[in-house]
Amino acid sequence: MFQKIKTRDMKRKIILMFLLFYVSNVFVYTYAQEKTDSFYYAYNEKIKLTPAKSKLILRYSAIKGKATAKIQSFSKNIVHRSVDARTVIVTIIDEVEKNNLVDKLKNDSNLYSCQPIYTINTGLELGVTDEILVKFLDNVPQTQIEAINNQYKVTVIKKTEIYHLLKVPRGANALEIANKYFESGLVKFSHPNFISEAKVNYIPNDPYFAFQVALHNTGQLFNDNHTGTSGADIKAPEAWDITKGNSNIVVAVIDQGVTSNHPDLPNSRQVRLNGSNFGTGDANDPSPVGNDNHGNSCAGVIAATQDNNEGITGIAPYCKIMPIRWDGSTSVQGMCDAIKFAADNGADIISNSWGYDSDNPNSYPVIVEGIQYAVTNGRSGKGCVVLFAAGNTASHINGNNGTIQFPANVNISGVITVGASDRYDQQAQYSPSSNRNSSNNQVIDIVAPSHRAYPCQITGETFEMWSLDIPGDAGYNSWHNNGVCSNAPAVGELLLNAGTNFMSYTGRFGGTSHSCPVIAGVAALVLSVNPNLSQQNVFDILTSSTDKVGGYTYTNGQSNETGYGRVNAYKAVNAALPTISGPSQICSQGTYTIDLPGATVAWSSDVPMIFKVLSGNGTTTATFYIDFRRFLPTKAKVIAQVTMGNQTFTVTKDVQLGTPTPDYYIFQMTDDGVLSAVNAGVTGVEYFFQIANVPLSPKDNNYHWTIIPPPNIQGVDPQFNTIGTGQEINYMGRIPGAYTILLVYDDSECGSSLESIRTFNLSGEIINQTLTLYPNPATDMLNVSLTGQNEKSASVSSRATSVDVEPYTIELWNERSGLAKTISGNKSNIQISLRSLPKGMYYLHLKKKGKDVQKKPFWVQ
Amino acid sequence: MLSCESPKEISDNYVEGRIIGFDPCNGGSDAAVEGRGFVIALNNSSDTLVTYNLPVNLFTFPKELFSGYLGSFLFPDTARNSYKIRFQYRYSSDSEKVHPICSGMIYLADYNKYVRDRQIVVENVSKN
Repeated sequence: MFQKIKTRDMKRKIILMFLLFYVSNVFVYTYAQEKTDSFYYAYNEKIKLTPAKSKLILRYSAIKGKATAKIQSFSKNIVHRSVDARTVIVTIIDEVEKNNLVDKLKNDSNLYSCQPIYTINTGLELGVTDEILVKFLDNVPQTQIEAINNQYKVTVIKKTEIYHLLKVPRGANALEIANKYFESGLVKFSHPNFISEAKVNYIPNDPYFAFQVALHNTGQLFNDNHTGTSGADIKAPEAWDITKGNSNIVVAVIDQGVTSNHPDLPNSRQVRLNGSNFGTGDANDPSPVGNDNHGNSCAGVIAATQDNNEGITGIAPYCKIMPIRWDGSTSVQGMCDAIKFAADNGADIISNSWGYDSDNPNSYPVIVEGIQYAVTNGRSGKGCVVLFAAGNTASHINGNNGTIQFPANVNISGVITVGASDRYDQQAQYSPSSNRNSSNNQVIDIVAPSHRAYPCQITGETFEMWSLDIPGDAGYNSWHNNGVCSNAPAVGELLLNAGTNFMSYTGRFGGTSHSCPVIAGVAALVLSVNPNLSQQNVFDILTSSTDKVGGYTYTNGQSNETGYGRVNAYKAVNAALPTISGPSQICSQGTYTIDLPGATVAWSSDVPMIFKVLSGNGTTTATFYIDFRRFLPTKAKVIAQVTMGNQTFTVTKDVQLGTPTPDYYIFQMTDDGVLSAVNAGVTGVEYFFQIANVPLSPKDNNYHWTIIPPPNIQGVDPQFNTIGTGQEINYMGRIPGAYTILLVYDDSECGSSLESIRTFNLSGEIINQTLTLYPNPATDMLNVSLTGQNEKSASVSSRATSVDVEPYTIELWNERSGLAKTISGNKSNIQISLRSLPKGMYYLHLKKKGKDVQKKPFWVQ
Repeated sequence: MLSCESPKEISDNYVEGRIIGFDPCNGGSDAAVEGRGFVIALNNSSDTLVTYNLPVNLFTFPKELFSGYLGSFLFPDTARNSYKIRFQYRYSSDSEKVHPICSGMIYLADYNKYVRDRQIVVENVSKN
């Protein structure tokens, strides 16, 4: 299917194609793609902008009308998207076609601006058109405002208290003008009126989600007139854009029981098993008793139903809860049995918001063994993910760092010890700190948000996390707990007191009890996208994807206050996504696999007209092929839309179709002053060209450089003269005229591609530069003649007359044994003794300023 | 509420004290359950102790005294002088010490700091 391109032929075709369309002013257009130092000011912070290689944004003077059709006529490989009546975003993969398009657009009198689409480090795309937004400082007089507006010839379109909207002249660079405004010192801010799509993360319709600051903290007002720090949350909506959980993932909540058929957690979303009550009462009923709502609240944080227009949402709302009940009568043997019960009955995760009033990590060996059993034998040997709340044993405001209670401090690898952060991303007042000097494994692994402090610690603080409550008056709503401190919730308090089934929800949950199921919910999302992970894998993913919050000292990634940091559900889920295995470069076709047995996979690519699925759609392995009818070498993405259970998420893999093309490259002259020398047209100096911004790779030697001399000397010098290979080459100009440099990438797999072109002019005196060696082969003595090396001479030096030339170094290299001799000098004619050199083939390297200028072979007889 | 040495065997002398609170982990908001931990402040001393073998029927505690268990192990101020006792005691051995299971919502910093390791066994307890 794939017709492999012969490298040499392809290279020649590329060069000829270039010569056909090339005109001297192709690059006259002030087009920012080759700029790598673009930025804008976000207040006084410079935000780096990277031009997207294949996207342009065009702004027309008036209604663009048939402009898009005209653009489309330039090439069938153009995709355009209208932003508004005057603006269009054009996507064009091939760089030559794009430059061609830009050249043609210059003649469109209706076009007002043409810019690349920029991206910032997160991948967000920003379009710059013809407008900028500025806010002048309060003390800037109107005359000064008018002066700077006149200086940049902008038109004021709109003024508000917040900004002035200014339009730049046709063809002007709005980004640069915006930066000039900021650098004037007259404005508070100045940046282009970016066209940028605001990303909206998933926000569920559950009415109390607005109070769940642990999941999504915008600084909103919630309990007790509190507000927090925007972003001090676990990034749940961001994670939900990837997955809301897999109904096959089961989280056991070993606690005080879960209400049967709770309005926000129906039995269809619970795994209620006979024998799951290890407390008093019916052994087959894991429902709470009295006001013991703790289990409901833990379960709700993990998996309360989402988008049912009622109550709260769980973090993993498609996963299931396995309630396992204990009470004060449950012995340590009973707790061990409860853990083993979870592992034996299919729990993937075991959330434990309980502990014992002891800091000995081996307090109850039977429980240690039960945990070891779950992490070893659970999930068919991959291990249950086991989490424990660290306990609420600290009072930092009083200098008490607390202790981590058993079994949270158990010495079993991968068991997750969970502390609490607060609405400000600070360590919660009661959350114990790590103590690495202790022999009792006093180590916090990770934190998740919960309430800030107990009422007796900080006035005005109390439980403020939201979750499920026992329906009716029992449980936490109404509040049944008297408070010793005056600002604790009053007995009988209703929070909430209105809304559908409001008595089934509470806003008075907290402690590390809340933080533990938060992490359990994130772990459920992680396993949802990749159920192959071991419990240790999950530990590693959760702890390596945290946000290092609080301003604490993190040593080797950990702080005493927050362990590895505050959990970030979005990062964790991303880190857990399975990978697509298969070739990263294909010339004709390739096979890709995703290791998720039982999953249904819809395969596609982001260039569907070029890169197509041949077979395997719906399965975990698919074969793709390149449709050569529309083929252009390009980067592509293999897209796997994975369906497992009731969730669907997307995984991608970057693939190079055909010969790779670097994202950006420019020619740089690396020798001091050479760039200006080229621009000034000086001859007789060395020109060093280098590829820049191309990541080093094993294939760097596949870059080939070619010089196309001026037409008047074509035929004198070889027309296509490949002058070097690799990241860096040097070239010595000799004859005035317009030179063109081409860079071609040869790829042994998929052929060649044109990478870049650039011209420069040489002018001034003609100085021949010839290196002559004679006799060749030589015996005792080698004569070396350097002609045209005298920078002060316009004449051709003869072999007979030795004159001063620019200092040089000559190295003689034996082809087998390496460097044999080094001579430095500044005379145009010298003799080199060969008496000490063995017979054989040699290369003479002429160097200036440490760089090879020329080399020639010779033989010693 | 600072600690001082306690006898390892039952003392010959009686001491007097007041029940001022409870172990928040064992029993929750239930008033008097078998094995409930009670916090005792000794008179004429700043020592604070906890015992798990106070006779269940010695006092009838109102349930409200325990309802702050999530945030505090102490009875409300008004009740801290209401339950006076006279008793003999000794320090609990390690094997006798009680570590009840505890919900992760309960505040333990103060209890752990002042009381947890001051477990005693009481005998010959009477109201005072």
